[in-house]
Parts: sequence; structure tokens; C-alpha cells
Amino acid sequence: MTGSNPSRLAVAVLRRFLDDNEALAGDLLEGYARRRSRVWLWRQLLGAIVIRSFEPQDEERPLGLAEQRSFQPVRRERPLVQPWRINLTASPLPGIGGLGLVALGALVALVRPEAALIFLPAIGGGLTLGVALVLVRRRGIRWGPPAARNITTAATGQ
Amino acid sequence: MQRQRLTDFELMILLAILRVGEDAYGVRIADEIERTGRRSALMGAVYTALDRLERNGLVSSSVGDPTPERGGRAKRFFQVTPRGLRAVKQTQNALVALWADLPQLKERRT
Repeated sequence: MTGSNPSRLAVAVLRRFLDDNEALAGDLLEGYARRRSRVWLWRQLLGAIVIRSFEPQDEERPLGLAEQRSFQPVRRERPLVQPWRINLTASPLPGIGGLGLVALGALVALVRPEAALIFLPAIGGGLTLGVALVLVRRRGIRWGPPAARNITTAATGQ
Repeated sequence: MQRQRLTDFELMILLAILRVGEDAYGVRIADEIERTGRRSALMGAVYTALDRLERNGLVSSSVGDPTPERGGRAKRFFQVTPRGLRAVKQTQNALVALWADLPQLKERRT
């Protein structure tokens, strides 16, 4: 699979997930311009997204202060204690929900057809788990850490 | 002085930067690892290792000019710091000492 330009989808994925790392995004585009291989580009894109998703997020990054944004004080409108939510997507990747995960799986299966044998059962299992969790919630079973419920109850006086 | 421990991939990246010289940025570093080191390298893994090496003071980086073939994005050039060079030499000394006098690794002469 070759082409003179990277596909629109590849560019959109690059902008969505890697645009904050200008050097890496530029290197991927330059590498594609040299090799003209879409397989190479998708392999590099998916690899970079997965590797970055497992990077520790609690590091101090002093260079992040160099972002050219003016400081605007933001008034907190949401309550400090949020209701506990269940992530039905079962996706560890930030910014990827259910449909995004399915799209990512389809892309991987396109590049590596044998990967469909892994993704199809995983998607089926995820959907089954989601339906089961929705059914359990509709039956009125309360989920969530007890401490969070107590704080909410105390704050609302109920 | 505290000894700096390097993984094999970090060592390959430092050596690739030294081999490439002043034009060491992501694409050239990955190409050097693949061509000379005969090991495929994901660009994301290269940058993760480079960020870690920079945090540890073994490499430093500077931003170049944006180019059209990179979609207007700038290159990030890397240099090995004196501390990084010391780490490479320490690793080389350790590996050479471990390699020395191993009969299993001596070439057979026919």
C-alpha cells in the first residue's frame, strides 16, 4: 500500500493524538514522504499512540509552561464531588470511546488481518459487559465507592 | 560519582546520535538504528527514550526550522551531553570486560 500523500484518516489521527508533539508528528510525515508506505505510517502512528498512552502522566513537565496561552482565571462551576461513573467503553486510551475503539480495531485489522481474530471477540465481550452493567444499574443497584456516597450525602444534607 | 545505567535501546540511541552528528533528529536517529544497528525502531519508542535521556541529562535538544515536507512542523535536534558520553564509555567498558576471554565467543578458524 503506497501513495504520494498520507490518507486523510491518517492525518486526522495524527492531528488528534500526536499534534502536541510537533517533532514526532513532523518526523512521521517526513518518514512517510521518504518511504511512501502507508503500512509503515499506520504502524508508526498506532505504535506511538499506544506507547504514549502508557507513559506516566504524573510527571512534572516544566517545559509545558512555555505554551503561549494567556492565563485566564476559570470559575469552578462543577461540584467538587462528582457522581461516580462507570466507563462502559473499557478503553484505557484517553479520548477514545466506544466508537473510536471500534474504529481503531478496524484499522489494525485492516493493516494486520489476523488481528481481527483478537478484536472481534474483544468487542463482543465489551458489548456484553456494557449491556450487563446497564441492566444491573436499571435494577437499582447502587455502584461506587462508599466514601464518595457518604460525602455526597453529607453535602446535600440527605 | 553515580554511575548511569543505560538500557540497550538507550545505548543504541546515544550511539546513533553520535554517529549521525549535528543532523541528529528523530528520522535520522531511527534510520541509523535500523541501518547500522539492524533493529527496527518505532518512532514513538525513540521519542519516549529520548525524552527520558533528556530528563536524565544525557542528551540535550534544540528546535530547528519547520519544513514543508513535515507539514510545517519543526525538527528537534539532539546532542549527547558530556554526562551522556561518560555513560556510553562506562557501558562500553562494562560490556568489553564481560566479553573478554569468553571461549564461546571466539571465532572458529578453519
